[in-house]
Amino acid sequence: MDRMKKIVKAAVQTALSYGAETAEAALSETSEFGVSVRNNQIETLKESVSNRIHIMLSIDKKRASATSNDLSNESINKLIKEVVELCKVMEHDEYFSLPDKKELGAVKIDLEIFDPEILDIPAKRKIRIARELEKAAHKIDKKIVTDHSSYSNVTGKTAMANSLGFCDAYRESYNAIALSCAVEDNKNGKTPGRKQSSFWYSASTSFNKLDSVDKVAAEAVRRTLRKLGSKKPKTCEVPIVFDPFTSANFLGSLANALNGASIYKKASFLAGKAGEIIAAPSLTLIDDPLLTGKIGSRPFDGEGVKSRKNIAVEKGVLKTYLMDTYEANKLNSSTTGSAGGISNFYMKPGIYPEEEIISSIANGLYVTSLSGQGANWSTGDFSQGAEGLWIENGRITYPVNGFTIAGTFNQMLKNIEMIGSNIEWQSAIAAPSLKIKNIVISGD
Amino acid sequence: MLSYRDHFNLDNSTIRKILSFALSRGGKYSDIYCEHTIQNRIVMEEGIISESNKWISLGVGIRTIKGEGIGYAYTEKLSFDKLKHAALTAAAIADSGKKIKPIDVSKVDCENHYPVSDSVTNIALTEKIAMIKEAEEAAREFNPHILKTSVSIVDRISTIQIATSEGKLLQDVRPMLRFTVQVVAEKNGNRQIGVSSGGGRKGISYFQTVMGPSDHGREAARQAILLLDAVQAPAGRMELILAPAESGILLHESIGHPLEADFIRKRTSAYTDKIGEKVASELVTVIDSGKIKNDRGSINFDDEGTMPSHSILIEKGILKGYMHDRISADFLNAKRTGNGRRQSYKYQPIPRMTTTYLAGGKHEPEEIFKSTKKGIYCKTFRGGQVDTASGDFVFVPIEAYLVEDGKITAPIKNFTLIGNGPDVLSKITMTGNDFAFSDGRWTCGKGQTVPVNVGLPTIKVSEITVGGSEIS
Repeated sequence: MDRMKKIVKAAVQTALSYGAETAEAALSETSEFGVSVRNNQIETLKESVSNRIHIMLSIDKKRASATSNDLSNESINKLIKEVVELCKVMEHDEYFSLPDKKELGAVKIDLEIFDPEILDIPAKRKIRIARELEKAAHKIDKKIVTDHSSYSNVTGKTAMANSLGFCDAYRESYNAIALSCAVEDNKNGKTPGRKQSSFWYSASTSFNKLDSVDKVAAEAVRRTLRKLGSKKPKTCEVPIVFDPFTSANFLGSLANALNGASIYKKASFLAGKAGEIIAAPSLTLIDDPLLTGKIGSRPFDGEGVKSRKNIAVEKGVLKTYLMDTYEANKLNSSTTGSAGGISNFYMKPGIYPEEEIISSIANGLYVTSLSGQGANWSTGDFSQGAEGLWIENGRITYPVNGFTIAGTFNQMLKNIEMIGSNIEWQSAIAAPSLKIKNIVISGD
Repeated sequence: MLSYRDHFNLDNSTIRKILSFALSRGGKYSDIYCEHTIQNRIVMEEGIISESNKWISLGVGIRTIKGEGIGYAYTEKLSFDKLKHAALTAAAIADSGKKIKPIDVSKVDCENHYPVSDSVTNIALTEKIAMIKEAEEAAREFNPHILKTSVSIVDRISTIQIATSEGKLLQDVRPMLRFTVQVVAEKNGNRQIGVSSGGGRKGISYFQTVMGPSDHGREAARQAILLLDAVQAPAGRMELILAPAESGILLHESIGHPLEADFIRKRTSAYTDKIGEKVASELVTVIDSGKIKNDRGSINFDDEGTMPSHSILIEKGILKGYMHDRISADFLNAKRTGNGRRQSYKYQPIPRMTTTYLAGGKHEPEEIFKSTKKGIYCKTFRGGQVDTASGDFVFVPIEAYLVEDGKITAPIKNFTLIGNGPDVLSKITMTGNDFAFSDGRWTCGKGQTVPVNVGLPTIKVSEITVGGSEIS
């Protein structure tokens, strides 16, 4: 890490000496390992190391940048020279600046985002885990065809420096097991070849926090088998429940809509809504890079700004957008430490166990999968392909697919009726189950 | 012309040694994929040339195959030791068997499907900036409701060299151009986005012969302004007319992905074991071709050294073949089709589409409209997605209209089309005589991204589920 810090510090110095007025350099080194198994045979075994240096310079608020994986001194210096020349043909952008010096720095607490054990586990054991995961699925149901069963890990080091004197670095790790599988779904002999498929996974910053292979296999198989014999529902308007997985998917769109760049470009349905009520009072959305051991945790953001917790939406009121320095300057605000995007973005869990949410619905839909690019957070329109389970008299009944759900983000957020207590952390975006009063289903 | 030696500095004896290491544990086949990419991107936002990025990437991926198993490693440092380490890592997929010796590689010539003598990469930055400004001005001046405009130009040149243990050495320079205008229009608090984008493996002449910068500016603005007055789309089943070119997205999702032969080899596709069967209406002939001149989806050879082909996937409704990489073709005893593609040296190749299209038919577009009582007409698309196991797919229109009694009426917005591949393809009842390829702007994601293209004439689908929010 000291070696990496030296490189970025030197790059900043070189840039200044070539005539840059501000300079920022970031270096990352990533090691990856992955094994994927099918029918107990290894399908792919992959192992590698990659590097990337990113340099951003400005002269008279004219900025340009470069990215390269060639870390030789000579190449970096040549690149810096080119970027300095690029700066000169760019145009003066009054909103450009480095962060305020007082915002810079790394938080001092241990975020537990690097697990050295991941590097010590022998490849043989990782291969065995991928095999055991597949075996566990076949044990539950022999009809299951596996597409792939895998273990993978990534460990990385990031170093950053800028011309205000900031220079720091951190390490992080990530590992995951995943299984995707399929099963024949020939409805009364009428749909030869048709299959149903699904997948499940577990991901964490540390090896010991991964779910067991039995648990992941059981969930992948459950998600696959429950789709057998799916029917197309009638076109109607009913209450829906997003399961934690699709709820997190919906939340991902909201993260984009809260992003400072989308706001100043007016390419978000939330532009101009700061301080307003945008959702039911039960909704609170938080971006927190300081949670220990979570996938999105980080000591500083992509500009070296010290990490802090941001409550973006509190009890239905839009409190703040998530901004880097440039976006904040454009919006006449201050950075939220969000350069590089969200960290751990989540919906604050509510009080309802999922069963209670389902039992509150006489006729409605439990959504398990969303597809397509129809969650248009720029305009606020929402129409996505969906799959799920039909709810009748408070109980899950048969599977449904081949339909869409459509509405607008505004209506959906205001129509949130219940939020589950069941948050699931499998990625940097996490959410509990979510009930929305009504939405249009287009099917038969 | 770029020199390969300058980039990779691998002579034949080094290649032979590295391939030997890669096969040292009993692998049946190995290849070395070298890639050097330079990409330039310039962005104008809110009237200012605000961002410029140069991206350089150099790496070598080494792969060893044994049966259906792949060992893969890459390195970004091209020293002999690093290459040897990567080769030995890849070799570990095999752990027994007879060692085979690689043969000396010799250069294989290939046809150049994308000669470009006027590369955008070579023009002065000031010229690029002038084009960007032309587009911005055209968009801004189109209508007073245009609120924001952003324009970008991205050019890329990838130099590729592949050496295989079967003795082939292939070299290629792959250019790519992409020009994009995005605008936001606002009226009475209603905001809409318009996007126009295009390019391909083309040079500056693209702007003279296909779409100029101001054409893109006006087109993006036109779409956004049109959408300001669009009404919410209906919900339920209805007739569908697809406009030529971009609507090819329908094929890419409904039939393209499920015919990628990794899903066939693994028996997870809805089209497994269906060669020779009727899978679509007899009006449907679908082709995947990597050989279309200067097209975004074209390749001079795929990313494992197989020449591209003009593959007929479906002929008059009958399934004829799949799209293969080397592994699936060998496993299924089929002819290689040149569809083994990868995002970069960091990935192993897998079966991917190139340019997938539906051949033109006999119907006049007017007849197609006349035959439609109550339906929708879709012209441009945001994208799509498919579940290859069930064949269920969605695709998401941007510019679309209601069709009533054969006539286009109101513009509509906010909907997804959803269907099942075999079902929808059997319902193609008319195909137009106005076939066109889409402008080059599509990127396909399947764990890794690759540039692709699509094409289609005007077609009629007798019924599909339209996912709007207005229940009639």
